[in-house]
Amino acid sequence: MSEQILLTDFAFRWDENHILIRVGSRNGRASASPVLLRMIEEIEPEVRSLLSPRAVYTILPHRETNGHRIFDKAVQVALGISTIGPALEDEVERQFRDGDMLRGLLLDAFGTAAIVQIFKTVERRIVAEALGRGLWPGRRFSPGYRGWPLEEQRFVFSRVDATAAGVRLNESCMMIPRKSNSFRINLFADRTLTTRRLPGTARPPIS
Amino acid sequence: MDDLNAIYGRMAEAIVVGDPEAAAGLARRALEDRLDLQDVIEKGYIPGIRRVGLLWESGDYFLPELISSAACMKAAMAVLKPALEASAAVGLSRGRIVIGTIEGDIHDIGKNLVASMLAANAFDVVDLGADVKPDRFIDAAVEARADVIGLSALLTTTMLGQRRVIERLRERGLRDRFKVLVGGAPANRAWAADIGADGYGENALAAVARAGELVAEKRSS
Ligand code: B12
Repeated sequence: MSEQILLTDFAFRWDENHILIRVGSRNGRASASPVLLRMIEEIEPEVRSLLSPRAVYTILPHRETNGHRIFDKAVQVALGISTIGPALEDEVERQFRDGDMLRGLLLDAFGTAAIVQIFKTVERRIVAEALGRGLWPGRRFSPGYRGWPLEEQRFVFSRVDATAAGVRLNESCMMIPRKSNSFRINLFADRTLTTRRLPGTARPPIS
Repeated sequence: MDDLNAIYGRMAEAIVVGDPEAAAGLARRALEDRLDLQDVIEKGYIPGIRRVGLLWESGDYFLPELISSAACMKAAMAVLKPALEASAAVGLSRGRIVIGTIEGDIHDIGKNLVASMLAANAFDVVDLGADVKPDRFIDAAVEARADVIGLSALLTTTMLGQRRVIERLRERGLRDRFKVLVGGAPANRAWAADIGADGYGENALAAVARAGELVAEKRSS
C-alpha cells in the first residue's frame, strides 16, 4: 500500500442557512420559525459530541490504479475516504423511531454538512499537496456518480486504508458508517487537463 | 363538556401549529371524556394533518413544519393507541405499509420522512430501515399482512432493486397480494409504469395520497 495519511482534527463551522436549506426551508433564515432556529442552536453542541471525524487519503501513480476511464490522463491519483463515525446516525435513527423527528431531521442535516466539511478539508490538503508537487488537480468525484459505478468502491477500498478511518464496505458496496464519503482526485501534469478553478490562477483554458 | 366540534377544531389546530403538548393533552382529555376515538382521529387530528399538507403544497409550510406536525400526530396517537387497541377498534388504520430503502442504498432520510408522514396519517407502518434485500420486503409484507410495499431508492443502481422486488413477488406467486409503491429522487412515474409498480410518489405527501388510493383499490378488488 502507498503512504496513507490519516486526518482526525477537523474544525467544524456551521452555516445556519445551509442546515435550514438542507431540511427544506427554501429561503433559509427568512422563512424559518423561531422554534426551529432555537432548536438548531440547541442541537449544535450535541452534534459536536456525536462526531468522531476521520479521513484517510493516499496518492498513487496512475499505474497503480485499475486503469478505469475515470483516471484517464492523470499521472497520479488521490483517493480518499472520510466519515463522521457511527454515533450521529444511531442517534438520528433513535430520534426517528421514538423521539423527536424534527430533531432527527436536523441532526441528519448537521451530519451531512459535517461529512461535506470533512471531505472538503481533505480535498484542500490534496490540492495544496499536488500544486506543491507541480501537478494540477482535477475535480473531486465519487464512486456511484454517473460514469463511475458503485462497485468501483472495492477498488478504492483496496488502495486506501479504510480500517484506519473506521470505515468498511458491505457486500452491496455501501460504506458503514453511513455518513461516509469516498472520492478520487486526478492529478495532471498538464494544466489544460483540469477543469478545476484553482486559487491564484485564472480559469483554466478550455482545450 | 365543550362543543365537540370546537374540540375537534382545537385538535386540528394543535397539529397545524405543531404543538405536541396540546395535541397529546387533547388526546388525554378525549380519553377522560370517553369521546368516540374514531371521530377524534377522523374529525379532529386527520383534518389537521391534511391542512398541513395543503400549507406545504402552497409553499407556506416547509419540511420542518411538516415534520413537527407529523410528530404531533405521533404524540396524540401514542396517547390514544392503548385505548384503541383495547377496544379493538376496527377501521381506524388506513392501511398497512411495509417500507424500506432498497439493498445497496443507505440514503434513508427521504424514506424516513415518507414513513413518518404515513404514520401521521393513520397508516400502520413497518419500517425495515435501509439496505433491505428483496425477499425481506416480501417476507415482512406477508408477516404483517400488508396492503402496500413501499420501496425507496436514491441511486440509479438501487432503482433496479425496485424492479427486482416486483420480479420476486411474481416468482413467489404473491404479486396480487400487495400493491407496490415506489419513490426516491431518480424514480418517476414512467419508471414506475415500466417496472410494473402500482404507484409512484414524488414526495412524502404524494406518498400518503398514493398509498391511500392503493389501499382503497386493493380493498375494493
Ligand atoms: C444527503 C445525501 C447523502 C448523505 C446520506 C444521508 C442519509 N442519511 O440519507 C451522505 C453524505 C451520507 C451520502 C453519501 C453517499 N452518496 Co449521496 N446523496 C445525498 C443527496 C445530496 C440528498 C439525498 C437526500 O437526503 N435528499 C432529501 C430527501 C428528503 O429527499 P429524497 O431522498 O429524494 O426523498 C423524497 C422523495 O424522493 C420521496 N421518496 C423517497 N423515498 C420514497 C419511497 C416511496 C415509497 C415514495 C412513494 C416516495 C419516496 O419522498 C421523499 C420526501 O419528500 C443526494 C443528491 C440528490 N439530489 O438526491 C446524493 C446522492 C443520492 N448520493 C449519491 C452517491 C453516489 C453517494 C455515495 C455512494 C458517494 C460516495 N462514493 O461517497 C455515498 C454513499 C455513502 C455510503 N455510506 O456508502 C448520488 C447517487 C448517484 C446515482 N444517481 O446513482 C447522489 C444522487 C449525488 C450525486 N451527485 O450524484 N449521500
